[in-house]
Amino acid sequence: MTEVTIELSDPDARFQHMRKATLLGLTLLALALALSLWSSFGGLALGDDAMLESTLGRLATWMAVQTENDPDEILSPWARYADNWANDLGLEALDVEILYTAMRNLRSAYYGLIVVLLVYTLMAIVLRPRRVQSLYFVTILLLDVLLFLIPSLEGHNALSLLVYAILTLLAALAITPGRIGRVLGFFLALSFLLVGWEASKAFADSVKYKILLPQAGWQYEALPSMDEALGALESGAVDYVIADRKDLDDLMPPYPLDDDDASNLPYQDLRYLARLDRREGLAFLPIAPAFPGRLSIAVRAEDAGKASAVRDVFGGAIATVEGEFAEERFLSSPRNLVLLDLKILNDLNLPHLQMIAEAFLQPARRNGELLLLRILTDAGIYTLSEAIFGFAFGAALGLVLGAIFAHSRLMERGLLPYVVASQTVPILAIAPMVVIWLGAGQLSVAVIAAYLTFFPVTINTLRGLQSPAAEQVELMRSYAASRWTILWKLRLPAALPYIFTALKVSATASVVGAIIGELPSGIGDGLGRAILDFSSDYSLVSTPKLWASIVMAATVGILFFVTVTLAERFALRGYVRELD
Amino acid sequence: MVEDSRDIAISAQGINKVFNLGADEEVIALQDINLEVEAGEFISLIGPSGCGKSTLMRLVGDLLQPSSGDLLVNGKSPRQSRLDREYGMVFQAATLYEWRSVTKNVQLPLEVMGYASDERQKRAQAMLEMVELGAFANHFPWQLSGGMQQRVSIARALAFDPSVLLMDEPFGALDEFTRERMNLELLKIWDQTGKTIIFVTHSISEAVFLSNRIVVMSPRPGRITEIVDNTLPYPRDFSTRSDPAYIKLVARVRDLLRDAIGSDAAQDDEVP
Repeated sequence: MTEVTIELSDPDARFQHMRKATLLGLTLLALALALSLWSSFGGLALGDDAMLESTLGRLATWMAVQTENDPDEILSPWARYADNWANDLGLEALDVEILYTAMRNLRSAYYGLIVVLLVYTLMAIVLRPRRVQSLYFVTILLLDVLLFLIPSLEGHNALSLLVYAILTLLAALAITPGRIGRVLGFFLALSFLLVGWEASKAFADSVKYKILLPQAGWQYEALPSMDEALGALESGAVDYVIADRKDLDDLMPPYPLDDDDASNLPYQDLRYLARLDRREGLAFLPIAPAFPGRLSIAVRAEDAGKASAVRDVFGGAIATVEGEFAEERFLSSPRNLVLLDLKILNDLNLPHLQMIAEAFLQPARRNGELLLLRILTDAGIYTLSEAIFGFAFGAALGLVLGAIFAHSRLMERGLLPYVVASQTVPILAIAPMVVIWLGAGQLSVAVIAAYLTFFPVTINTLRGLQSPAAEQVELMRSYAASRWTILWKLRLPAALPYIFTALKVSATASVVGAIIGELPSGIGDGLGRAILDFSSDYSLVSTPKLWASIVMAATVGILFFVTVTLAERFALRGYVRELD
Repeated sequence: MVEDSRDIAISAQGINKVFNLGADEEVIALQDINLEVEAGEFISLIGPSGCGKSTLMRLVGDLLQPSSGDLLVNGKSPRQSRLDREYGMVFQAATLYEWRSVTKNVQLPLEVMGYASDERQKRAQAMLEMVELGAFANHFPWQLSGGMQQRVSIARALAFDPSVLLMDEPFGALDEFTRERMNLELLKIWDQTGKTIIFVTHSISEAVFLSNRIVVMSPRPGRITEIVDNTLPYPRDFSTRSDPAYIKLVARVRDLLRDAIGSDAAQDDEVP
């Protein structure tokens, strides 16, 4: 028997070398980007926009202003900190320059840390490969934080440098050996989301928020006056004249004819199209610019019925009046098919991450005493307490109903359809009724939250209580166990996994219910009111605050969900084998 | 008779069981069953699917009620015996509670029956030792193999010292080697405890190996074809399976089964 040894080391070693080289290259690139980011800040004067407009800069400005107030007007701990600082320096009010300088030093230290980490990573790639994954992880997290601090300004490329640096490190992390655990995976996904947010905004900005496919433009003749244009139409030299509708209305009857007396108008053998289908495009993709509403099309009376849509007119013999709106602003403009409208990514609809962070660290109204962060946190806790109460009530109701249905076929058949039907009524319709019955307060909000909570718990409790196999029940009967014993020792433990599944769903549903419930209740202290306030104003100032409220609502929901999940892990610790 | 009631554990006379009486799906599960089981006997019920062996076992255990006929267990009605906790049951699926540890599973009937905590612990430990799983008391069911789970199930059935053990194809889900090992274990337990055992199976070799009387049943309607006495001596072991008397007995049972329902029956059983 011959022995065959397979040499695996050579191609394997080569692969390792290639990987190391790639990692080194990517890390060097990231280092270069980080250094240029650092130097771009190093060269800034204290009054530069890039400093003032950043999250920390605006916070510093506010803190300085707050120190000018009387001590009893200073409510925020941030402002108090600044005030104490001023007192330590023997000053009445804190000069904002001091804060900016402190901020700048902080930033330098931060960038310095990142650079040090990257240099260490370079060494680690060669000497201690096991550390590399964690090093990348920490560096990416540190850079992610900067996404919330660096403003997006014309002419400043700091944000772009940052995005490229993060992408480089994410690529490096992708080829680094090592298992990706739950925590790492979560933050990686988060980083991708944040970077994707900024990167897609940058892309949309670069194409002016539209992806276009150029089309053939309008072919037309521009004549010096309206009379000449209409004369050309009458004589047959052209088939259409495009001009302001108001002007045409003064000169000819409309098609189809309307009730106004048009017999005294000069051009009786011409018509302007009063009903015009202005849509142009390919399937659901529109053509820009769209045919303006102020324009209309004049035709000879005998041809009036033939064209009814702008796309019928396109390509025909067209005349217009020189120098007027129709020519200057429409016919001469380039025509494009809009493949993708990226308006959703503009700063109004999807603010920069920095703008959202800034909204948190600014007062809710100009020079107010409390930062939005504090206001939203208080609102969040308020809403959460309503949600918890509603959740507890709904869960209890669900458990009881589920138990009743499991034991009585009659009740199940009789009541379950109504329970199901109750969920089909939209909560927005139920909420005002509950407020009328129970008054405008936290109780009715909790009841509304309970309304969304009890149904999943009922259904899953029923299912879970009926889940034990027939033989398990037979076994219990052979022990002469009473119904209660069977419920307590067999059905209830068997139902726990199902119940917890429903509780997880209900946790988030109760937060939603609480927020919606606050709206008709007129409760001013919760997240519902905050969202309502900030959504009523569609502006660059208000929209980031709306996003901040959404972030807070999401945080509340996630916290609640995680709590229920932890409770589930504890309660079900004996149950199912952990699948890794 | 009163003087027989202590020796006769189970007495069935003229038992009939009909499902869905009068309807289209009416099934005569059991017809005119007559059977007397003495205390301490090991009885096998064997027959093809649909012969009513599981139904008969459940009638004895008061999980079902007979349509007509007299059924006495330990001189009492099956219901009374059930309320007096005289039955231990083992099913084909181990039906252990996945959220309880092995020892807690064995203690389950004791909890239901109101035994004190230290008494429960003691008994559970003793039972687990008897099925040789003492070291696994704090494991969970998913950590045990199928055979081990069945042994826990047996320990649980014996924990409260019932007089009658009802077993419905308990080793049906196990592989052949485990099955043979479990047969030996069961005989050992029977020898130690002296319980009356009703054992439902559709394995001829198992029925002959274990029991001292084999009740051969046939379907449509379910009835007893013949009750075969098994005189093979105890204790039985692996060598018993090569004993000519054993082989003859297996052949006899197989013939009875074949006669009852035609040649299809023989394909179900195992090679002894």
